[in-house]
Amino acid sequence: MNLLIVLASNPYSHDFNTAVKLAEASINRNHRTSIFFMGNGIYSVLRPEVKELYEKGAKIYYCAHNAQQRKIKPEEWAESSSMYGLSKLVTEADKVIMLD
Amino acid sequence: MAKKKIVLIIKSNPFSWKAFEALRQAVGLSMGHDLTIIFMKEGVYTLTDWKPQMIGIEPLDKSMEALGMTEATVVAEEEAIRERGIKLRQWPIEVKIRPKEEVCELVENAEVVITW
Repeated sequence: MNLLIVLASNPYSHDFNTAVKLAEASINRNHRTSIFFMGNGIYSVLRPEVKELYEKGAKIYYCAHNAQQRKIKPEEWAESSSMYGLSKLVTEADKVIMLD
Repeated sequence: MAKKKIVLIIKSNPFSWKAFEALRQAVGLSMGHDLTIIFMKEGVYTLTDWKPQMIGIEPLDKSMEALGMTEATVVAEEEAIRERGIKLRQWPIEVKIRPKEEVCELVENAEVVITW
């Protein structure tokens, strides 16, 4: 299964913990797992938990417009994207979960 | 790109950055999919004649105008509007006011449901 999680919550929210644990469980079951960060979710891209997910095989995307608004420069391993990029990820995904 | 039936629900009040981001996301999604945006609960306040600029938020007109140029559909839940006694302003895209049953049907038939 191809799971896409869209996270718009900041890192100190319950949604962030939910997203991390959900992604971990998905990866452990060998599902293709992608996380798209937007809005205040951009701050979450800086968290070590997200890098760990990337190292375990998750694909990490973020909205470049929101990152620029917040003057955040994510590391190279996170892929810069857009709302149209999200539209394509939704096409490929079997399940989409939005955490706002 | 295989089109999907997407429903984007805006249910929280618009007085934060989220309403603007939800509509920006809607514009992106409408380019590749069959999108219906549903305003319900506190989300219906987004459609009234309020002034986002007064709390530092960009006006929503551009996003609604862009949606007007796509095949997206905008729906507002009738009961939510009546309960709040509000009046919707004119937008560059038609806002269809539908009862709760029809809104439930839209959500049930969707392949992807995104909530704000």
